[in-house]
Amino acid sequence: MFYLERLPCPVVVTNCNGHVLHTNRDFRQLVAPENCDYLDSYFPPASRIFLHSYAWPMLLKNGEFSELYLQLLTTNGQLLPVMTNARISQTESEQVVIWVFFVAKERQRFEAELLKARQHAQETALQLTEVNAELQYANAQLSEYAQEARIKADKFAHLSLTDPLTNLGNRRALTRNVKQWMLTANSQSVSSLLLIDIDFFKQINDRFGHAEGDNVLRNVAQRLLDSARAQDSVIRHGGEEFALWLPNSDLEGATRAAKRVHQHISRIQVAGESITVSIGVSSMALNGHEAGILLEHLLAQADIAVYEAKAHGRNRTICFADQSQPSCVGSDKGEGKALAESAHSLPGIHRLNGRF
Amino acid sequence: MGIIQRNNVKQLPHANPDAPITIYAHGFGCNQDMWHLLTPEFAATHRQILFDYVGSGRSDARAFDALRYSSLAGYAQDLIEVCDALCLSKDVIFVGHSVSCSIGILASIQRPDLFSQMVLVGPSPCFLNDPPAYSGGFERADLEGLLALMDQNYIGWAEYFAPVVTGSQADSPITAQLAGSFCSTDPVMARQFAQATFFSDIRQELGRCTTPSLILQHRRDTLVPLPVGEYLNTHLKHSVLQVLDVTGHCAHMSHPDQVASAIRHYLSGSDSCVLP
Repeated sequence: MFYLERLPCPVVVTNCNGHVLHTNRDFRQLVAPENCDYLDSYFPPASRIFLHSYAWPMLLKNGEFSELYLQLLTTNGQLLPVMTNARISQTESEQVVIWVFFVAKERQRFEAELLKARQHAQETALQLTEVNAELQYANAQLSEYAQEARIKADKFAHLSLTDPLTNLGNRRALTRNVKQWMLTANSQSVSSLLLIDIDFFKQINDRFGHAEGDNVLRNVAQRLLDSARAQDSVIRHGGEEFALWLPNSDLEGATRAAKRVHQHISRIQVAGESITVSIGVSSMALNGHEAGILLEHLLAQADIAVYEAKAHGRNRTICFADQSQPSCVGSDKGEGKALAESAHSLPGIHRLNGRF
Repeated sequence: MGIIQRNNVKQLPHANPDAPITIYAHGFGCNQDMWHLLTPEFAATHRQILFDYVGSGRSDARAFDALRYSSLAGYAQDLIEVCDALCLSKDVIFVGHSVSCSIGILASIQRPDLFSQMVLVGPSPCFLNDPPAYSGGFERADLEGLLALMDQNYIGWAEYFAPVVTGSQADSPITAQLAGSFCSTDPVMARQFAQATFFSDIRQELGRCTTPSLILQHRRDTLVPLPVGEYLNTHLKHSVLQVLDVTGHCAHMSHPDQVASAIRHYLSGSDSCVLP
C-alpha cells in the first residue's frame, strides 16, 4: 500500500462492480480529495458511456485493457484527459480492478489538432465532391445547349439554303455546289445551266388559284429532280423559274438534259392540259472565274436564251452560244398540248448568237 | 456474398436439432464473444446462434454500407437476414444486449412471428433526455462528447485517416490484428454504430411490438437509469420487468449466472402459460 500510495500517477482500485476500494495520493490531489462510492462518479457522461459500452466489456472479457483515452472529472469541474490502463487481479479475498491513469494534457492538445485537421480535410474533400458534382451538372447542361444549338444551326442552314415551298435548293445552295465542284475542276472544265420558266404560269394562278399554282410549282420541282443526274443541282431561281446546273456537261449534254426536262414536265397536267416550259441553255468553261462570276455569266446568258424561247412561242429550248463556242447541235421542241391558246409548237432548239 | 460469412454467423453444436433456438445479438462496442459466459448455461437445452453486425467483430467489412448502417433499421435488417439465411421464420428466442434490444424490437415489428420471446438485457429505447416525460439519462452534448472521445481513441488506427483519401471504407481490408480485437473491425464503422445507437429513439415504435419480452434492468447502470426499464415495461405489450441487483451495464458478462437463471425462469414460466 505504501508504494501504491506514492506511485507517480493517479491510481484507483475497485471491485468488479466498479465500487471504489482505494485511491492513491496522486489521484486525490489531481482528481478528488474524497473517495466516491463508485468509479463512475469520477467521469463525465461521455466517458461513462464509453466506459460501460466498451471498457468494461473488454475488461470482463480479457481481464485487462490498455491505452484507452478517457476524461476524468475533477472536483473543481475540470476535465482531465488521461490514458487509462486497467487489469483485474485476484487478491486473497476477492477480485479487484486496478485502474492506472496517465495524464495526457499535451498529447490531448496535439491529437485534438490532428482531429481538427482530419475534419478539415474531410470537409474539403466533401466540398470538392460537391463542386465536382456541380461542374459535372454544368457540363451536362452545356452539352445539352450545344446539342440544341447544333440542331438549330443545322435547321437554319437548311432553311437558308432551301426554298420552303418546293424544298429545292436556292441560289445560295447553288453557289455552294458550284464552289464545291470547283475544288476538283480545272480551268477547262465546262458546266452548263438550264434556266426553266413555266409557260403561262400567271394564267394558271389566275384561273385555278394560288394553291393550284403552288401545286404546279411542286410538281415541276419533282419532275426536274427526276430529270437530273445525281451530280446536277436543281434550284428554284424565283417565281416560276427554275435552274438546272450540270457540272462537267457541255452544250450537247445540256441539250439532252433539256429534252428530258420537256418530256418530264409535259406529264404534268392541269385541267387536262399539259404544262410546258421555256428553257434557256448556257454553257461555259471555268477559265479561272470565281464561282459567283461563273454563275452570274451562266445565268445572264441563259436568261437571254429563255427570253428568246419565250419570244419564239414558248415550249422550246434556246441555247445561248457566244462566238467562241460551236453552234448548238440538234433540235428539240416541247411535246404535248400547250395549256394556253396561244401556245403552239415550234420546231427545235435554236442557237442564239450574241453577247451581253 | 453469403449472409453466413458476412455476419460471421456461428451455431453452437447441439445434439438435438429440435431443441428451441436462441439467437444472441451483441451491443455497441462489442461482438458475439460477449456472450461466452452465458451460452454455456444453455448449451444443453438450446440451439444457440451467434453473429456479428456488419462493421463489428469478424463480419465482412466489405459489406458495410454507410447509408444502411446509419440507422438501427439497417442493423435490424442484418438480424432478419441472418434468420432468413438459417431458414428461421418463427419461434426463435431473441436475446439482445443494450442497443440490440432496440434492434430486436424493430425486427419483431417487421416479422411479428419470428420471435416467440425476447430477452432484453439493459435495453434503452432512447438515450437522450426528453423532458418532462422521459429521462434517457443523457444530454445531446454528452453524446457528442462520446463521439469526440471515440475519435480520440481511434487516433492510433491508420484506417481512421484512410477515408479522407478514398472517400469510402467499403473496400478496406480487415487487418489481422483488428480481426482479433473485441470491438469493431473499423473505427469509422464503429463511430457510425455509435451514432446510430446513441442518437436513435424508438419510443414511438414500442406500441407496435407484439412479441412477449423479459426486460432485465441493471439496478445501478449509468448508461440506462432505472426509470428507463419501467418506461419500457409500461409501453411494451406482454412485457415482464426484472431488476437485477447489479452495478454496470453488462450483467451477462459480470453476473452471467443471475442472467441465466432469470432467462430460464422466464422461459419456463411462459412455457407453463402455453401448456394446458
